This record gives sequence, structure tokens and C-alpha cells, in this order.
Amino acid sequence: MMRRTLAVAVKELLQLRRDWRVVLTLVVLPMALVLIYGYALSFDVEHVRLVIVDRDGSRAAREVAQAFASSGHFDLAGTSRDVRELDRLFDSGRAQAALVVPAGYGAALAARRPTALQLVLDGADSQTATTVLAYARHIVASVTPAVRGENGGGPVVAAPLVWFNPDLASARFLVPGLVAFILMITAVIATALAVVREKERGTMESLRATPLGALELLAGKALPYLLIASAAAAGSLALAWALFDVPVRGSLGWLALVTVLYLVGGLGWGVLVSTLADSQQVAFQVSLLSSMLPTMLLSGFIFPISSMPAALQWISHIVPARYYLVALRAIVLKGAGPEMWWQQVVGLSVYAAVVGALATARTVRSL
Amino acid sequence: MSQPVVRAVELSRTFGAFRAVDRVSFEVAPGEVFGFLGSNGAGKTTTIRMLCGLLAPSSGRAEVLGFDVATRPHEIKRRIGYMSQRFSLYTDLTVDENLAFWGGAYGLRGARLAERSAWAVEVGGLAARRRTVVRELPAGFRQRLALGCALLHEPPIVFLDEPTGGVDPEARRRFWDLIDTLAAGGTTVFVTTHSMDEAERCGRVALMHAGRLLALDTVPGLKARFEPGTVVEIACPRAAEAMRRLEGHPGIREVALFGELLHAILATPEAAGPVVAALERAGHAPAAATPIEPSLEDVFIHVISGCSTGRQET
Amino acid sequence: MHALLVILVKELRQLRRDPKLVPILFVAPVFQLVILGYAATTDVRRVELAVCDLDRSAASRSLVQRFAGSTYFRVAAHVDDQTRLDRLLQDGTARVALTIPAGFAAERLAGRAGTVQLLADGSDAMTGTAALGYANGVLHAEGGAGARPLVELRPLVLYNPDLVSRNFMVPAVVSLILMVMTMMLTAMAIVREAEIGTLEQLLVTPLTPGLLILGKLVPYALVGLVEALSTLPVALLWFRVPLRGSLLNLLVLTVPFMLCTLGLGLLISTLSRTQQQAMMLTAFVFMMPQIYLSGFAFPIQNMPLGFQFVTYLVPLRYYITILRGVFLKGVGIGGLWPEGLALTGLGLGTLLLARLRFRRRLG
Repeated sequence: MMRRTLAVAVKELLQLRRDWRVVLTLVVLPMALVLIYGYALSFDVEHVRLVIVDRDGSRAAREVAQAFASSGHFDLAGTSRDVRELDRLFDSGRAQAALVVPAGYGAALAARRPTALQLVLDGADSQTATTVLAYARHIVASVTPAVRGENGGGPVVAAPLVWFNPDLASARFLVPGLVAFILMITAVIATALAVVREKERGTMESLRATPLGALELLAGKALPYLLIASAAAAGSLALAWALFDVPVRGSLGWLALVTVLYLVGGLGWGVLVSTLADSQQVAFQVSLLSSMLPTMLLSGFIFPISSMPAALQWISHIVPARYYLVALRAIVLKGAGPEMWWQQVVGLSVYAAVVGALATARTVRSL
Repeated sequence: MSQPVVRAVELSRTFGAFRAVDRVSFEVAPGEVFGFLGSNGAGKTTTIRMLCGLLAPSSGRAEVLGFDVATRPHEIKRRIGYMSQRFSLYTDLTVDENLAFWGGAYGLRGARLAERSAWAVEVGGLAARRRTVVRELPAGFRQRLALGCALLHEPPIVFLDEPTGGVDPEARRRFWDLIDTLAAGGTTVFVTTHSMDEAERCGRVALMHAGRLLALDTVPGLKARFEPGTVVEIACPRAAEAMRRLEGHPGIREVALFGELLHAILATPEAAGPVVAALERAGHAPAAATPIEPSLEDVFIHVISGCSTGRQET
Repeated sequence: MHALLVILVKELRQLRRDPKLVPILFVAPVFQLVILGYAATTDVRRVELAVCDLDRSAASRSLVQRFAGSTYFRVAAHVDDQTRLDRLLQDGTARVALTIPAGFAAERLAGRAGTVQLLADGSDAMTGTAALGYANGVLHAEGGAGARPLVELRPLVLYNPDLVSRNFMVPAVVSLILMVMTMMLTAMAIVREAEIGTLEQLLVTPLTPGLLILGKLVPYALVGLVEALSTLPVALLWFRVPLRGSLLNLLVLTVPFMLCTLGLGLLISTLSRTQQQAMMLTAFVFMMPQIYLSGFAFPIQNMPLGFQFVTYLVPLRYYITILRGVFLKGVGIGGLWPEGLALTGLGLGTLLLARLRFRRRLG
């Protein structure tokens, strides 16, 4: 069994060696994509375009405005004296937030009377708005004094502590997701095309005439791609570590194991797609759509799974990237050992086994 | 010869370092069935694509209907019919819809379109299948429909690039009958093929090999390149063994097994006697050599193997 | 003019006979919108919270109750020992851990600030940031019953007062679907003809390349508009995204966007020799950048400056601004003409490029 599988693998490698451009693409493309999008993408909210409407003009008003401007989160996009002008600024998108200091603010503060500042937000981008509001609360609280409440109770304050990613940099969170996303697409497409090409050329018929079993044949075909995809994975993760400050706190061995398991699942899916498709075009289309969209949307890469409706959360269980991402982030960012993410390994193994079994069954049936 | 319909002078086309067509010159007269014979990759399709204005020549020049292919392809396209190697109708449209589209593409409309469509349906034997989606037509019908589409605008010349690939012999025969009818009606037919049988049906045949035009003549003219009596059929026992003995014999230019017989080209008609004698001496008695008419295949192999004794028309 | 009509009739007939027509026009876009509309939410809800209450007072219970009662948190675990929180955060059972130290109630009763500890899992930076923000809000509300800061920050949220991310994402998803569908279809259009050989046949007819391109463009523009019309009701009626601007404005501004996606599709078509190449180009060179660099999920202002310049070449960027503007802000053409102009320019540019490439192919 092993020997025949190897024979197929060696043949595949020989063909790939002649097709070195494909190999290069399969290894370099994922790394290039991680590089480009790793730099481009970020959820960190910075450079929020802030307009200040100071209708007070007091020193206290200038102080609070100054606190916003120097916080690092805001870019001063202009000042205005007229609230009516804000409509236009928001509609055109030139302002995302506006701080309105009411007349009498300075006087109230001096007399230690309660007063209010108004923060106008563009809520269309709800996520940015939520974050901006939190920043603003923090700034206001830090520059203005508190008074004791009438009923005598003290305020409740938090001593926040962020673990694993203390400055909440989104690159550390997104780059692992990006790696998972790109590896999945490459693994699925590469194998799907490799098997269908054989079908299209008619060599599949000759292979079937040999004593090779379905499993041996599929495993042999997938093996070289596993090597290539592993190289791509190693390269991408190395880039993430070197350029995007993604630490590797856990063990490299575990990381390799989980990654290979994930790739096996991806390759298996690619093989399954190719047993269903008759032409390279169909194989490409199906493998692209079935790997790209779910991995992007239902894996927790960009959108948190816990916020989705129950049905979608349930569906997300058949997306291997979901398990890989949890394990990857746990190993890389949290330095967690296998006792923390063994469920993910189970998920990945079940996925790989089911997909592999289906692909083998399909191949046997068509023999 | 009246004003030629096609005139190529030193026509060449290179793709990078590869010379697909190498200084090819010829003329085609009106009403002729002009065949381009050659194996795959000989440069036939490249030549036809240049003549149709689909590909610019690298050097040399060519005129179709008096228009230069390099400078006035649009004038040419308006006036010619072309049927490409690959079967090129819309398989998801019906016969009528294809006719309407291709007719419209050539600017036909109204009564003329209806009349010409009716003509194409009739010559194609498609009357019962006008509403059939082309995908469901047998290959022979598609072929005739494709030809009909290429002829809707009544071009004085039609270019057919390997038109009968993948068609059964009966449909092929019907297709060539159609070509004869066209030619009789005055349409010039320029056809490429790698089939010897088809080339036999052409008025004149140009032999192409590796981008070069090696010979151009009528079919009898090409066959006359062999001195009478040099193409013989040899009957003898154990023909396969005999063939190996004859290879390298000074009186033999080429020899091939043809069923139980040997097919040989002799250096001279007088070589027949010594060859038969040699065979009999080697134990292949009784042996006999009968002169036969050379086939076009003999000519073709003979010409490309470079032993052409005749003049090379360029 | 007659020639154009002939081409259009043929394209429409082919389209009508395509068994994928109904799926392409209605099923796929609506299905995608429903799934994506639900999946693409950045709202952080039901964040798993682990609680370690070392105070066990009425005040501490009231605080925990306030967390549990908010839609933002879900109490996933109660522990007695702070050291057990580590593990809960590591294995992902909890994303935020709240520790209420002993003496919390006493401090507050004494009028001093009662300090609690919030431990957040930063590995999911997005949820972490949002959860800390929400937690501060909860603490503020709890503390507000006691003490007030002298200055209160009163937020006024425009356009989307409840900060529902669906309102923000669904219009963008509509634009994404429109782009993907029309670009894919047109990208295949010319390559397919080249592959089956009809393109060569077309090129020997007197039809000019300009006419051929136009003939491909119009039917697929129609397909795009039908798709827009089949997805908009889903956005409006199913997801209840408010439409504050005019539908007419929206449709008018959709036309230049179509020009871009169709132009890009045709350009891909002329750049590739096989359908497979066309798919590759579409996926990696044209689609991924559009998804990531359009502001669909990742705010453009957060990108490095170089990438921000690149986004100006991304048609989806403008169209998302248009859709969000018309839907949520009720902006009309008066406010969105720069985007419309940019799209028209990009569209004509790509079409011109496609036309030039098309001529080059003739050899």
C-alpha cells in the first residue's frame, strides 16, 4: 500500500518539477497575499476625522478639545462654530465624529456644576462608531473631575488588563486568520485542479486500469501538494512572525501538527470536489466558492461567530478554518498547550476523515 | 488565367523564432477548388488565417479579391466566407437562430436574409430541423449548417479550414458534393485538409510541409512526377520479411507493407526485374511486381522526403 | 445599428436558453445576500464572560446581574478562585473575565471608587476592544447610580442610532454580490467564445470589435440591473435596512458601477486565453483586492497611506460609499456626484483598455 502510494506521489512530483511555475505560485502566492493584506487590513481605529464645535470658547473647552486631538485616535478635520454645518460635513463623509462643547461649559465646570459634552457620531459604520465612543468616554473621564453622588455610593471603575495582545493590535488577530484563509484556498484549488486535469487528459482511465486502490491513488496525488502547502504555510507563518509581530508563544511542534491536519482537510476537500467535477473550469469554480466564502465569513476570521444567528453558528461547524483558527490563535497568541484546544483537533480530524472517506467512496463508485 | 482571386507572394509568418509559414507564393483562379494538403503543423491554418485578415503577415504580401490582407482586412471580411477548423456555431441556439445571427453579422436583413436562410436550409438538408438546438444536431448536419452560415452573403470565395474533421464518411461525401456544386456555380473554394482522399477531389493541390510550399499542381500533374512504371505492387510470400530485405536495395527508393502486398517506389522502371530476382533468390519465390497508378500519398511522402525529381513551383 | 441589434438578439437568446439563468439572476444573489447579511455582522454580542466574585455582597451581585442582563455579555462561568480564570481565557471558554475583589462593597459605601478587574482576551482584538468598551458602559451605569462624573458625554449617533452593523454591512454585501456576479459572467463571455471557436468566426465577419464589445455589454448590464432589483427587496424587507434616499438615485448611480464591473470583466476576458485563466484572474487579481480594499469590512482610513491610494482604483470603494450614503444617510446625487464621476471615469477607462486589448488579440 505504502509503496504504491509513493509511486503515485513520485510521479506527481516529477510532473510538478516540470511545472515548476505552478509550484512557485503555490508557495509564493500565499506569502505574497499575507504580506499585502497583512499590511493593508486593520480594525484598529485611528485617524478618525473629528470636527470640533466649540460654542464656549473657554480654556476648559480648549483643554478637552486638545485632549481629543492629542489622543492619537483622532485627526482634527476642522473646527466649526455652527452646529448646522455638521450635517453637510457628515453627509459628505468629511467628518466621522464631532465634539460639541456647549456654551457655558467652562463656567459650569468652574462652579463645579454638572454639565455635558455632546459627541456626534456617524453610526453608519457601527463598529468604528462603537470604538470611537469608547475612546471618547475614556478621554472625557480622564480630563474632567468626578463628583460624589447624592446617595453616597462611590463610582465603579475598572482596572482593565488585556492578555495575549495587550495593545489590542488587530494585525495579531487578523494575520493568523489571513493565513488560514489563503492556505485553504490554495490547498483546495491546487488539488482539485490536479485531479481533474488527470481526468480531462484521460490518464485517469489508465491509472484505474492499474491495481492501485482508490485511497492509494488519492493519497498519492495529494501527498506532493501537502508538501507544497506545508512549505507555503511555513513561509506565511514565518512572515506573520517576522513582519506583523505575531508571536509564537506555544510549541512549534504543535503548530506544525495542527497546520498539517488543517491542510489535509483542505486537500481532501479539493480531491472531493475534483471527483464531483468533470472539467477544470467547474472544479475551479466550485473549489473557489466553497473554500473562499465560508472561510472568510463563517470561520471567525473577520466576523465573530458568537454574534451570528444560531443556524449559521451551527453551519460554521463544517468549516475547518473555524477549528484551525481557534487552535492557531491559541497556540500562537496564547501559548496554550493541547489540553486547551484538543476539541479543535478533534474537529479537524473528523473533517479530514469524513472528506477523505467521501472522496474515496466517490472514486470507488466511479471505478 | 483570369485575374486571380487570391495571390500570395513570399508570404511568411513567424511566431517568435518559429517560422510557421515560410515564403509561400501561389495564386488561386476564380471558380477553382484549391486544396492545401499537409500534416498538422504544416502552416495551413496560419496561411488561411492570414488570408482572412485574422493574422497579420510577418513579411511578404497577399491579396484576396484584390485587397491587401495587411492593410484592408475589413474589405476582405465583408466579401469572404470562412469556416474554421473548430466547429464554430452557437450550440445553444437553434438552426434558424444561428442563420439569423450570422446573416445579420454580414448585414443581411429582411427578404434577402429569409431567401438565403431558405437556401442554406435546403442545401444542408435541414428543413425538418430548423427549430432544433444545434447541440442536438449530428455532426454532419452541423458541418453543412456551418458552411451554409459562411455562405449566406454569397461570397465569391470561401475558405474552409479542415472542414470535415470528426464527420462520418457518408456526411463527408455529402459535404464534398456540396463543394462541387458551389464550385460549379462559380464560387472559389479554398480548402485545407490532411486527408489524401479529399485532396484528390480538388482541382489543384498545394503540398505544404514545415511552413514551406513544396509542390503545387493538379492531382494528375502531381502524380506525373513519377516516371510511369516506378510505382509498383510486389506480391510474394512472407511479405513482412521481404520488406526488410528490400530496405537498402539500390533499386528501391521506398517500400511499405500494404496488407499482404508490398508497395514500392523504384529508382527506375527498369529496377523491377532485379528487385524481383533478388527476392526470389532470398527464398521469396514466387515474386511479381505490377506497376500501379501512384496515389497522392505516394506523391506526398515522396515530396517531403526531399527526393523530388520534379521542379518545385514557388 | 442593425448589426448591434443582431448581436443583442443573439446574446439574449443564448442567455434565455442558459439553464443557469434563473439561478444566476435570482437564486444565487438572494441566497448569498441572506447568508452574508447574517454572517457579516461586526456587532459584538453575547461575549462569554467569566465571573470571579470574591466580595459576595449585594453590591457585587448587583454588578454581575447588570452584566448578565445586558445583551453584550453572557455569563459563561462562575469561579471562586482567580487563578482559574487563566485557563478559561486560554481555552476560549471566556473572552472577558470580571473579578470583583473582596471589600468592593465596603469601598463604595465609603464613597471611594470600587475597583474591579477586567481581564480581556486580546487575541481577538476586535471583540476584545468592543467588549472592554461595553464593559466600561456597564460599569458606568452601575456606578452612575452612585456617583456622577462632573462632565457627562452624551453621544448622538447619526444615521444608525442603534449602531446595528447589519445596516452598514448589508448594502455593502449587495454591492459585493452585484460585482461578483456581473464580473464573473462577462469575464467568461468572450473567453468562452474564444474557446468554442465562435470568436474567430465572428472576427471574419464585418462586425467591428467595438460593436462586439457593446453587444456583450448591454445584456450583462441588464442582468446586473435585474440582480440589483432582486437583491434590494431582500435588503429592505428582510433585513429592514432603512432606505432614506431615493431608489431612483440609487439605480442611476448603479449604472456607472455596472460600467466598471462589466468593463473589468471584459478586460479579464481579453487578458486570458482559457476560462480557467479568466477565473484565476477574476479571483485573485480583481476580486480579492476589491473585497479587502473597498472598505467593505476593513475601514480604508486604517490602511497604510500607499494602500489608501490604491483604493482609489477600486470601483467597489465608490459604490459602497454610494450605497451606504443613499441607504443610511439619504444623500442624493448632489452629494454623491464625485463618486459617480469617479466610477464613470474608471468604467470608461477599463472599457477603453478592453477595447485596445481586443484589437491586439486580432494579431
